[in-house]
Amino acid sequence: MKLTFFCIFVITLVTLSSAKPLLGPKTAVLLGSIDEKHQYSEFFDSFTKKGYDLHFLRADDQDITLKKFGEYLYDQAILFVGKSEEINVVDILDFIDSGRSVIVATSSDLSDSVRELAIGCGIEFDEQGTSVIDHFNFKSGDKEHTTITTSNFCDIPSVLGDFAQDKKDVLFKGIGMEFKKNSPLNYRILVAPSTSYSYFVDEKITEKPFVIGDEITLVSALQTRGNARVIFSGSIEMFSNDFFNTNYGNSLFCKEIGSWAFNERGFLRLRDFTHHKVDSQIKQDYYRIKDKVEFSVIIEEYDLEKGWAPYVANDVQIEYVMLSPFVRATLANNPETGKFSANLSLPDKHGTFKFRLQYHKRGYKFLEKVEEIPLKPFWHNQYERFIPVAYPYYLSAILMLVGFFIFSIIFLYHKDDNVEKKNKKATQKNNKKNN
Amino acid sequence: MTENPLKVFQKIFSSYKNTTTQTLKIIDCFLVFQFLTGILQFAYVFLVGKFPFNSFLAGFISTVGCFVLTINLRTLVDPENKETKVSAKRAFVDFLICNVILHLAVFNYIG
Repeated sequence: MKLTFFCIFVITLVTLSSAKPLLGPKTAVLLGSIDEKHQYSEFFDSFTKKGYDLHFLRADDQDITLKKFGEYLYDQAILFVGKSEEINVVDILDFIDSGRSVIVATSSDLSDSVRELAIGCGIEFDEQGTSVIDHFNFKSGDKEHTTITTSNFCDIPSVLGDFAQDKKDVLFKGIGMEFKKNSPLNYRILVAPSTSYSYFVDEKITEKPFVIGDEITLVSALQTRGNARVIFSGSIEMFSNDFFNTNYGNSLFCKEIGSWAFNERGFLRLRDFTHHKVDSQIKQDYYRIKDKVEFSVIIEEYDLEKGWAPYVANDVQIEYVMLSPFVRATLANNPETGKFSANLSLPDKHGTFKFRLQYHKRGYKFLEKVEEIPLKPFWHNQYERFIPVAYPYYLSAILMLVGFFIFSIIFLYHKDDNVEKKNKKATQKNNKKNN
Repeated sequence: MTENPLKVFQKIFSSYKNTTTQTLKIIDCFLVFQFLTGILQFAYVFLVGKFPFNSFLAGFISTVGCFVLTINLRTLVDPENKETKVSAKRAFVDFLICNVILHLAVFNYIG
């Protein structure tokens, strides 16, 4: 009896905590040494609680494979490589290309392979040995002024999550990054204060530092076109228990950006991309110019507990494109079903058009869907007839016809006296000549 | 000086009356009628705009086309025209057929 109750209790617990990470629970955690996992236990525990299955591996280990026989062994990865560990850059870039997310944190002691990985993702770290130094915004008690505090966060609510309501300064100790301005896929999450610079700690400054002030990015994110999210942090200590257990906002900040990286927020999918003429439900192969078309799509967002929940937003747009958009409409949202719909008036020009939905909102998965449908011109008998403005033209054409009839009757049957007289005169003259 | 133009016009008019046959006078009436209708349509398009452009074109072409065909008939039927070898009957039948084709096209295009 007690055993059955216990079994039922365990089963209900298991089903209640059915939070499912999107791609799968297996997470590879690469550390300098396995013992280090205790230093970051709070960060790792926040994932374990959500259902992630962390596998701790040594970064230096040559036998690590993320892929075996063409199948990936892990669905996410965390790389805490701040002690010059060499990592297999090619493997990790391949892992990212397959759509799997990675959190990378390093420190001033980063190795060349970590620099290479970052450059492969559009970020350039400063030289090994440098730190971000700020003589004005540092943690009190720090003599080297390398543990800096900053409050320059990005403005992307999806990435910051709950932290956006509860912003506090964040502690950072590590190396700075340079962010290339032309990268559309990279976002700066945490930026150094304007009074900071990145240089070797004990050396006198003889040349311009790599990055200074606002240009220094401390934490950045990349969302690839395959929707893999990669977070680069210049400070591995930011995630440590020591920094979490202070009054600064490290704990919430790191947990929130970690959960964004692992697709717990802002991961969208669309389905039921349909369009039909306003009054009928039949799906047609083509439309005619000046038709009125109703378009609808269902967009859902992945929630860790609820699974796929309806997405709520008011800035999704649909475009009707032939080389460039002719019609663009903002879709009206139904929060309960996640259905976005709008009525479009198709343009005057005929051709091969596409319905195109492109949703590139920062912090959300890239949504793109295109469907090509021809737009045909009017049939010969679909034009307007008997337009009032054109009545004079109709009248003139009819008058011409009527005039033509009357004229031909008169022309055929009238008697031309002059001609007869002339003929008579001519015959008389001839007769006189002959006579 | 002012009298001369008047007298010139009068002379033209009276010589026209005397020298042209009645057939030609009838054709000339028809020509004037077509010309006026065409001018009226053109003025209408200036005032109202080109909205049913195909209707305007059809109406205008009907007048202009008929005008051209009637002038052809006049040249062929004119007794003072000594170069043609076509009889008046043949000229009239040509005129008839061409007009039928023209009006067919006009009423199809007038929309």
